[in-house]
Amino acid sequence: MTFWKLAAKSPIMAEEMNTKASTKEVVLPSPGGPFAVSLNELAEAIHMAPVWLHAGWIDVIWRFRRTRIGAFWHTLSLAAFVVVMGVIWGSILHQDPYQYFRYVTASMIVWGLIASFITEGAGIMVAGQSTALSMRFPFIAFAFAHVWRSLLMFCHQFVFYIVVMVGTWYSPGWAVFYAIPGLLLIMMNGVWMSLFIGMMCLRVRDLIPATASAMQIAIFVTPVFWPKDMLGPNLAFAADFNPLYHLVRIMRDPLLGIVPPLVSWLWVLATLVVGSTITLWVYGKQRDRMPYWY
Amino acid sequence: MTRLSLENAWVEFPVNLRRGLRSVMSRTGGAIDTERSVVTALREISFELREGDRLGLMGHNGAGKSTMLRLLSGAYPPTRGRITSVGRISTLFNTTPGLNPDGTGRENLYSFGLHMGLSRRKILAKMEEIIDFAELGDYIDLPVRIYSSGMMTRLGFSIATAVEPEILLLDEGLATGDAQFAQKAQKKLNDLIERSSILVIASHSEALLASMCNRCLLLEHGRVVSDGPAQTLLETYRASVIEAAQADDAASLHRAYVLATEMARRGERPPLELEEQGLRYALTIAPDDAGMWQRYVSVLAAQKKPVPPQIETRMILNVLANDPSRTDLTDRLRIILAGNSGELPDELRERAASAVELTGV
Repeated sequence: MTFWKLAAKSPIMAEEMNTKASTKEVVLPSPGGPFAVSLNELAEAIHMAPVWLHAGWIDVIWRFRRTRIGAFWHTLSLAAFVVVMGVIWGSILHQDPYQYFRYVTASMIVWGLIASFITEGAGIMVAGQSTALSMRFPFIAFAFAHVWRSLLMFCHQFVFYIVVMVGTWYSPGWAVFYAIPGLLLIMMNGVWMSLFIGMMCLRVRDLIPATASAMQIAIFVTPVFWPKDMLGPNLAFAADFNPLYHLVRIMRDPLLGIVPPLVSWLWVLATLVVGSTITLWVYGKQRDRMPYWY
Repeated sequence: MTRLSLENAWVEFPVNLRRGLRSVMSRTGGAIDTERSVVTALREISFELREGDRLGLMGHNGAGKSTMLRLLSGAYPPTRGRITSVGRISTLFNTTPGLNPDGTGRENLYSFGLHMGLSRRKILAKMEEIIDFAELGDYIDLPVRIYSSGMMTRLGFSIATAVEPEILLLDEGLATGDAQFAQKAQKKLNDLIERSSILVIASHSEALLASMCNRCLLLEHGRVVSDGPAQTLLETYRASVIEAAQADDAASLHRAYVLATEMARRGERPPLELEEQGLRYALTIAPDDAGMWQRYVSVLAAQKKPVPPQIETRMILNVLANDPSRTDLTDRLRIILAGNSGELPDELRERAASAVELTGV
């Protein structure tokens, strides 16, 4: 049975389909192997698109409801960061100031997107308690909602990228279109990343502060606000074998007008395949235990 | 065909237990297994519900009623055994899917509707009707975090009942609304029950269960102790309350008191033993109520139980406090004091003695 056929058989959210849904038999614990369970839930989660699309969107609104400039606070803090970094680090690292401004801006918006999958992904399952304990809910949808919400936040920051590009009067050229597949791959990776971290953090709550510290270190280890050449030939492997570096690169490079090298695409694809496989396996294996972790 | 069936289902929670915790049977809750580090909330549950079934869940606090509802809703998959369900499920628990305290009532309604499987169009069409029913007025556009718990109940109830489910699972707590809303809720619920094919409701209120359900399960420490028509089960439940209250601790006496007053309010006469237990609890709260003391003594006497001198003295003292002219009672008091006054606590003996002196000679 293909994936899409499975999707068509899952409990359906649209009202027109209600009569069909009512005839479906739900057996718990879910029958079948780990991958059958998780693919079934994946299909169900995709079907629940209206739920998580709304959840991610309204969450951005709710989070900034009591602020004046709302989600643009993130843009503002990014701008402050880039200005300070551009002036101080630009001279410490002996970089061309304009080029460095662009470099830090592109790096930081892409890094912010990837980091949010991990740091904020840590809490997505824990935060879903009220939903998870009231109904049978495909937890994968929490990850979808989170990736969608992160994308919305990214769009706010993207405004600043445009400001910098126009301000420094620089066109990245046609290479910028590589950013589209780059963004798609980052988001697909984001689903497994946030789901995996979310599950782990639900089971072992110590991991929530641990992931936050780990990401603080990761930003210094990954060439984000310093160029990779500065590592020198002996330490270059530290970036070459860092999947986060390749993940950043496939989007940042196009934004700066550079075509990302093939090796980065391959790294990202490999991360996606390996990460998703492991996540789906763990998810399928533990799905019916997860509500007991709350 | 709507159906809900459980085959030998268990719900076991993993817990971190400190070493040295001994396995002691607690009055409430499921069994704590220190060796496997699990709390068994429900064990060996098997039953089947078909179209038209209205099931009531009864039991003391921690007997497993709410866990059972979560098991039926699919939120807790059984750790052993199996559950099969066919039909759209709607729930009204103390948790609400998709609730965010920073959102307004209207936004939360929308998000809840989506979780319950309503389409955007349907939610918008029903929105005004739901808001009208909840009677929240302008509050509907204010953040939920400033709502009172009664307002939250109104909101939750209005949306949970707006979805027209095939299987409806309700946790009691409808009682938190004020009387006027409770009445309205009851009416709405009756409507809904007629339309939904399976209803499961967990409650402490016998009256509610007796009027709504055609079948009841009595849970105790996570087991089904009896299963049958509501009326038989109510009797078993009463018996279990009476039995528990024989231990004489405040919590189970309170339960007996609640049960007895509930029966009295419906015009039923509680069994003597239950009334005795209820009175014993009530007297700890109002120790100066002469009428209650008199009733207590006559309930004891009606059961042909001995009336301890201490009880009799307290009753007489309270009656005399209202009506000092009752010489028959002072005489009786004198006899008690002369006979076995050693059994009375000092304080009581002194009070009795002074009461006798007062009416004097």
